[in-house]
Amino acid sequence: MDDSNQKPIPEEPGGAVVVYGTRWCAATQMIRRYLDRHNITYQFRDIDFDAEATRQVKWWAGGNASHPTVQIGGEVLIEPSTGEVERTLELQGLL
Amino acid sequence: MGRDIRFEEFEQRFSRLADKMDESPEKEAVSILHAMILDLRRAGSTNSPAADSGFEKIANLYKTAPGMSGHAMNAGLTVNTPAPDFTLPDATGKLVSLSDFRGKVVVVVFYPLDWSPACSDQLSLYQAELDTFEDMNASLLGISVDSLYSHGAWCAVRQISFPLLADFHPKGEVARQYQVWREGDGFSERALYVIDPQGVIRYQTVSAELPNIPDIYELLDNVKKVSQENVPRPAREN
Repeated sequence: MDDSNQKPIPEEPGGAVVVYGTRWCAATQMIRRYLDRHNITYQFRDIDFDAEATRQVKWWAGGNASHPTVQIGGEVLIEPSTGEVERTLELQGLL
Repeated sequence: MGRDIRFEEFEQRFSRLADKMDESPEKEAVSILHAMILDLRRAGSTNSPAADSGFEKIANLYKTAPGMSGHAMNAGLTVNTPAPDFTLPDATGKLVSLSDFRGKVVVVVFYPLDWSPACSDQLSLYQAELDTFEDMNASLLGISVDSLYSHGAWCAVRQISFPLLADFHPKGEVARQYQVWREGDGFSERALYVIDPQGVIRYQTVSAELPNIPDIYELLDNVKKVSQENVPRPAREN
């Protein structure tokens, strides 16, 4: 996956998707590959190396660096299943 | 204004406040309350009789099972060396040999144990990629020290359709051959080998920490590379 085509996070609902996670986490990899297969552009923020991303995730998740955490438009999903990501993408009109 | 839209707006306003509060017990309390609200919202949208069924409970046991930890104790076999042949039973009792796959790229996945948290997610990750592997003329073989009966139950629950082989007796013999056996634990490292159609190891990785799952992008890149180097060429016409 080439991360260079990632877009900045938009402010409005229904915008881009951001995956916060690590490269060694299977659940993060599963969601990233799900998005790849469905040609959904997303930004990957590696919380092992991105302190700002880690702070944001901890703010959402009660102080835990939960991964993956997925932001889809205005929705934040903490450690979601692929099914939950799929449902949220559908609700946001991205799938 | 719809309920979901309003929730999204609240969520975005909340997100933007992350850097506006100094670290404090109050900030932590607000953050915990937010996480609790997300959990409640999630529970409200996903609760169903199926989720409470015995089958689902078993399928989700791995989420609360004790994790495993430990640094890698072995480096594994080196690339560009022949992959040792082996024969092990799959979940149906059928004997499977590495040499059965000569002419194809093979990804051999050594993992510690069925039913464990990281292994469950790892194999589901590969199951979701089966079409991708197939498109690259690659087959997957999972190997652990679990019995064929455990493999059978685990495959059914996790809906794993590629072969899981039982390195059960003599315990860990194949893991030892591949230099990924953890003597003190009684199971293997988490390790991957990509073996080319001629039976030569072309890529390998041993996870530095047991729960760490190798990067799927790196694996797919290496399988693709080996596959492209071994595309059968049409015979030349004279």
